[in-house]
Amino acid sequence: MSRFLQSLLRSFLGLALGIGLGLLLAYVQGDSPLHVLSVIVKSAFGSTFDIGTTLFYATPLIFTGLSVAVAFHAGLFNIGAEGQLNLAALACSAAALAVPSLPGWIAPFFALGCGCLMGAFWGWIPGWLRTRRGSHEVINTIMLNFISAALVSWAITAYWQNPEVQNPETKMLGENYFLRSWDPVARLFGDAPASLAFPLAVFVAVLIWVFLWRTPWGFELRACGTNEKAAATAGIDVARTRQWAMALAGALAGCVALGEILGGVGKFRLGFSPEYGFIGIAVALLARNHPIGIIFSALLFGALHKGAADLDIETEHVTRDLSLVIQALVILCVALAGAWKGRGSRR
Amino acid sequence: MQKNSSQIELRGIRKVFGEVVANEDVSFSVRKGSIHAIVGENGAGKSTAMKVLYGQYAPDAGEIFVGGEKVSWRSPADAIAAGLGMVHQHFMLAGCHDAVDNVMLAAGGSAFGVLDYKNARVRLESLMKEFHMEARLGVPVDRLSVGEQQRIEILKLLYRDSSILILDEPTAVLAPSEIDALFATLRGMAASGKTILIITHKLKEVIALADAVTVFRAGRVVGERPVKGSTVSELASLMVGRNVSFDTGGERQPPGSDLVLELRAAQPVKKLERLGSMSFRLHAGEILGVAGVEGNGQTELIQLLLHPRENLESGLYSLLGNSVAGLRSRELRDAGLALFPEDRLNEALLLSESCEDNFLLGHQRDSGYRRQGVLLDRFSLRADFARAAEEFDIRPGTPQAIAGTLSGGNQQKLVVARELASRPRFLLAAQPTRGVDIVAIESIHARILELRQSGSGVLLISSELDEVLKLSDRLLVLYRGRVVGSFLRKEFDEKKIGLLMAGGHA
Repeated sequence: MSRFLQSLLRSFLGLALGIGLGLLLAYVQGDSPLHVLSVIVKSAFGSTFDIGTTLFYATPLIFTGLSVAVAFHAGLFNIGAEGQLNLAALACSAAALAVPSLPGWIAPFFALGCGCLMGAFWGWIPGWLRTRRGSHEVINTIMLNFISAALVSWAITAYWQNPEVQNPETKMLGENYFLRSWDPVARLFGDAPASLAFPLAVFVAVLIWVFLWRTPWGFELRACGTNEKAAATAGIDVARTRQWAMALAGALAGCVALGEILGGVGKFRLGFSPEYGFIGIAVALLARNHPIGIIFSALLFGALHKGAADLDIETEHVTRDLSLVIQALVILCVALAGAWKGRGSRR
Repeated sequence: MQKNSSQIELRGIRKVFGEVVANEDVSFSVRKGSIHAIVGENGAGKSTAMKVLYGQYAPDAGEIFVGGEKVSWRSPADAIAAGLGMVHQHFMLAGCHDAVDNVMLAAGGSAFGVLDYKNARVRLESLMKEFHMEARLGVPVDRLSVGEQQRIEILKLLYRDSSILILDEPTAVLAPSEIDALFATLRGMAASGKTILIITHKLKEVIALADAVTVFRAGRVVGERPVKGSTVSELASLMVGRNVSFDTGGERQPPGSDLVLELRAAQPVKKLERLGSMSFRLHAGEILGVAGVEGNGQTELIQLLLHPRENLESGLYSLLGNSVAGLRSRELRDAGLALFPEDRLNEALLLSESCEDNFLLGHQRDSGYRRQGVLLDRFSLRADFARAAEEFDIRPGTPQAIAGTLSGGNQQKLVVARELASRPRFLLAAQPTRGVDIVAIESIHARILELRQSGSGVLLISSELDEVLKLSDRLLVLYRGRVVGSFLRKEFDEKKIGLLMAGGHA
């Protein structure tokens, strides 16, 4: 337990240091750090609408953070969440367009299921390549991101382009696929894009925690990550476990479609993701790959994203890019705090 | 103090890590030109003391004298410059380079940055002649035998004129004949004025080789004496702090006739090329020992037995009368196999995880640890672990303790407890007591004998010949992947077996 607390403490230390350094930069630029901080906080949490938007940004980050974390616990580095979520979102939309007349209580879940399957498949490929062919998943997931991007833009223009608009996007999905029509969370936040997807993401995070720490399969997955050889010696099929882990990671990345498509705009737009897949790596890192921690670190990144929006208007010198700088500093400082623990045992 | 005779002296060394006192008031001295043994159980503080002496750790208190002068190292480089040299248990060689390269790498420095290979080679050859050490030059060292690699390690130190040599468990990887050769070399070096410190846990070798011995226990020096007149059992009780029995557990019932394991012309896949075709049988209530110097196919034999689906090319492999040739290793475990892995740190444990998680490893799908089919039952796991920790005397017995922080002996007891929890019919015990203290060795040996008594078959693979001789009912000698000898317990002959292990003919 104290190990857990220690790592929590280190994360917070890194976080405080990162934000502090970011504000110091703002100070150097000529803005009052307190003012900048209050602008960010107010913009992220100032009104119901702000909170709703923050939650909307945080939702996909929970999913991609979980995706990275699950792979990490199996000893793999999933840099491919971006590609997985793009293809999954497209598959989700395509399924909805292909079967327009499902009843509303099942339609969103059917579409989501198709998306997750697609994501799982796209995640499984590098898992298979790694375990059967020995080629490294970092290289493969990165390359599959490019392939996914190319596939998606080709598929949109070739098959699902909405002829009434210039932008590369699909037609609107049927009303029955919208969470909005009955979503109590969306009603709570009015115009803000928050949806049922957020509580569902939190629920999934809890489920993943239970899976990893309270089921035999999660135990096997983690064993593959902590000591591959010991896991194999204990009779665990490391190759198969890792393939499943990557498929699960892909499916989690695919869940991004829930908030973005079904709970959000209701159609697939090319380039809808502002690199949720990559920010997910940072989210998982900050949370030290703990599913519950990921909820909070996704909220932080969501808040920074939303909070930065008003920096352009409300401050004299700094721009919204400060948010990116702070994100980067937080990651560096958290990594630093982690390294700091490793020191000091030699002498 | 007799300044002239004591080459090394440690006075009142204290070293603390966090809350653990690794060394407390450690004082001893080593005569110039002598062979001095440092003995103690794992965790007794002998390695820490050596690292302090070698400059790897800075002592929290105390003084070190070398050649009568007080020294204080900032790093091992200072110690090396003062003539100290260390042969680590795990060799520090650049594997794809030959002996000359390795020696020069260690010596470092050269005029104007130009390396003089020719001179180095000449000098190395003369050293080899002087100390009767043979090692092939011009061959990458990782293609040489372990004995040769060790000789190169020693030559590295001689090459840079080290006058004080520290050897950490030098005999762990050697065949009996190689051990004799090493001892002859070390005696020659001592005679020529070098001072030799040897860290070991094999007391027989201390008696055979050393002039003086310092015994460590619980971070302190509990005895320092000339070897002449000391006995193994005397040193052992000093080390452990109580009397130790060396008997083999009294009367033995003869093994049963039921077959537990049978290999008939079992041919491993090409990947395991170090192992030839295997044929042998193991009966219920029998311990079959496999003796041999490490690297003669033991690892491959374990892989073959553990993963037949991947590693068995052809031939028969049956367990309890059923062919298991196509099975996965989990299915084998379900069929009654248990394993003490050869390499505890890499193959047996999740070092960063808790003891209870390590106790669960391999049993995670057992119905006894499931609730509602899908959830792990942490309560019964914890209860079982508590019982096992008590029964097997695992310390600390807290379920949340991180496995990597346990001592070697306790880690191994954890592995033993876990593997025996399923009451296996066939136990594959590979190097069951490697790096483990005497008390733990006794207890692990007792467990293995107990399992034999209960009618299970045990295949004991160990590079410690004494261990194989003590426990086995029957013994096979493995050399270059083949069984080159087979002995019944009443025919055991240490000399003959030792000869076969080294590739000779009995």
